[in-house]
Amino acid sequence: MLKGDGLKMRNLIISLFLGLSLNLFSSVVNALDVIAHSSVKDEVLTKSKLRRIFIMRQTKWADGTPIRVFVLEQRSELHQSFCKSSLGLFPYQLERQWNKLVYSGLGEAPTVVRDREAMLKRVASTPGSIGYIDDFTGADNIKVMMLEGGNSDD
Amino acid sequence: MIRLLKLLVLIHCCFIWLPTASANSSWHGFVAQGVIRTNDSTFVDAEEEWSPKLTELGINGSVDLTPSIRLAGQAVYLNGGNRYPEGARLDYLFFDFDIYDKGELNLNLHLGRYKNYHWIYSATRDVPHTRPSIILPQSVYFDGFRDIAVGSDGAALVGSYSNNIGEWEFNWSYGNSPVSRKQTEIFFSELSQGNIEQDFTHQLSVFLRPKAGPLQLGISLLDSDFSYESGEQDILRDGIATSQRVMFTLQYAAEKWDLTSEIMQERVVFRGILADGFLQDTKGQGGYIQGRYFLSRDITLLARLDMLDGDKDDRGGDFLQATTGIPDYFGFHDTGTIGVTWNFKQNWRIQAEFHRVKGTARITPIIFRDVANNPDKYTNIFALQATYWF
Repeated sequence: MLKGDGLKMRNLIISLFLGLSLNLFSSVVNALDVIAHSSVKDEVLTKSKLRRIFIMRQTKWADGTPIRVFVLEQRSELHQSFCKSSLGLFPYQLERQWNKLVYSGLGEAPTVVRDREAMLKRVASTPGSIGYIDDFTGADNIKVMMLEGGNSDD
Repeated sequence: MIRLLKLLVLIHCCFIWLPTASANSSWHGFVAQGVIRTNDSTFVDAEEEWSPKLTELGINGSVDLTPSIRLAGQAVYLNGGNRYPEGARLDYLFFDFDIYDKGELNLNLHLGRYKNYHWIYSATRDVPHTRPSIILPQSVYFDGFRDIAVGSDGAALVGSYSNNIGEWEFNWSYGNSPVSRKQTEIFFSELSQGNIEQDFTHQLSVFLRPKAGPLQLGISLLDSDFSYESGEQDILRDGIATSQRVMFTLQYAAEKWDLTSEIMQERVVFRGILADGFLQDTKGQGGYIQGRYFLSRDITLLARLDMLDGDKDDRGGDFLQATTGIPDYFGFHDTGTIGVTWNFKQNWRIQAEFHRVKGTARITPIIFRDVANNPDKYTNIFALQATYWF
């Protein structure tokens, strides 16, 4: 094998490895928004805080209001994308965290909703709630949370 | 089963009759039944047939008593043959006090029968669909100690914190576990007439996920003392046993695969028990490395190598054999495992696995060894289990 071929092969292996492990955190769904009930006083979330909320480590907003978390079914492409791009976690990691909460007494898992319409309906009708959606064009009682640092991981 | 029903009624009463005017409660559970086969081993029983002794039933619930106090509990019924006592038990039932929950830090205090959060799978080792395999690596998750290791009566602090270094989890606990007569027989054999009490178990663990990346590192420490009070015509004597464990953990998560490893050193000291004035102080070493490949969203493949040396200064068991006559292969327990998990329907799972085992160090009882029924250095375990959870 020529020296150049070896270099190409090495680069290919590195690319594949990174593709399998790290770079897949990048977003594949456009215009994904984190939404919350309009009663939520917080306007900006760091990636770290967003992750803490969705792994149910942080269960109250800054003013003490309980946080109600809504997620789509694990098979949903949007859920997969949200986990990877916004939380920096693979869906199975998130599920493992939730199972640990539910089956060891630590807490409760988020409420799973069937589709984006159900997501909008539940977030709009639940004070203190948070969820996510794509192509959001606005709705009553719902606001979009600003994410510090955009979609890149911390 | 009657004990299970009693426990279920107890938990039901706790959650229903407590003042829950504004309570938010929830229920979850699981049902798992399988078949398991071993050859020339008493890991499950002495038979060489497919055994149905692979039953796990559980129900858990939690209720918010106030905005910052919860009650959570879980009762299970198990039948695992010789792996642990058959019957119902209360795995946990504790009050959860939300001490601090703001910004990057949260801290909770658990009072009651708390859960062991110190090892990667310890918090849910009793829940079939949360385990990577039907049988966990025995070096770390010795089934003989299952009831004692799953949780204890006392207090636990559970917290998490995020900063520039990464995401931290920390756990501290102090308590003890009741040891049943059946558990005593599993440890020491039916020859023992006395009672074991766990004086205390003190544990601490810290986990770090650097820069919120794919790697998680952890360390856990355990210190525990047991007392044995001999019976009237007991072959054993009064005494104390000490167990001290240091363990390091590593997990790496990729989209299509993950890697998990826990390695530990465990010091075990016996004072008395076997004879008046008897003293034995050994350090065992072991651990496992496990890889999983997510073939699809529903199918996961598993491969694992698990190794344990009961005494790091007698890895081959030669000294054990020379001084006690017990075969050398009771000094170690190494296992190669392959398995597959298929989530064939929502909340339904089938797991199948094969274990090739070398050695019998993790076969109970651990004091009076059952050499006659464990005549081989190499044994096989096949297991198949279906689980439904809600």
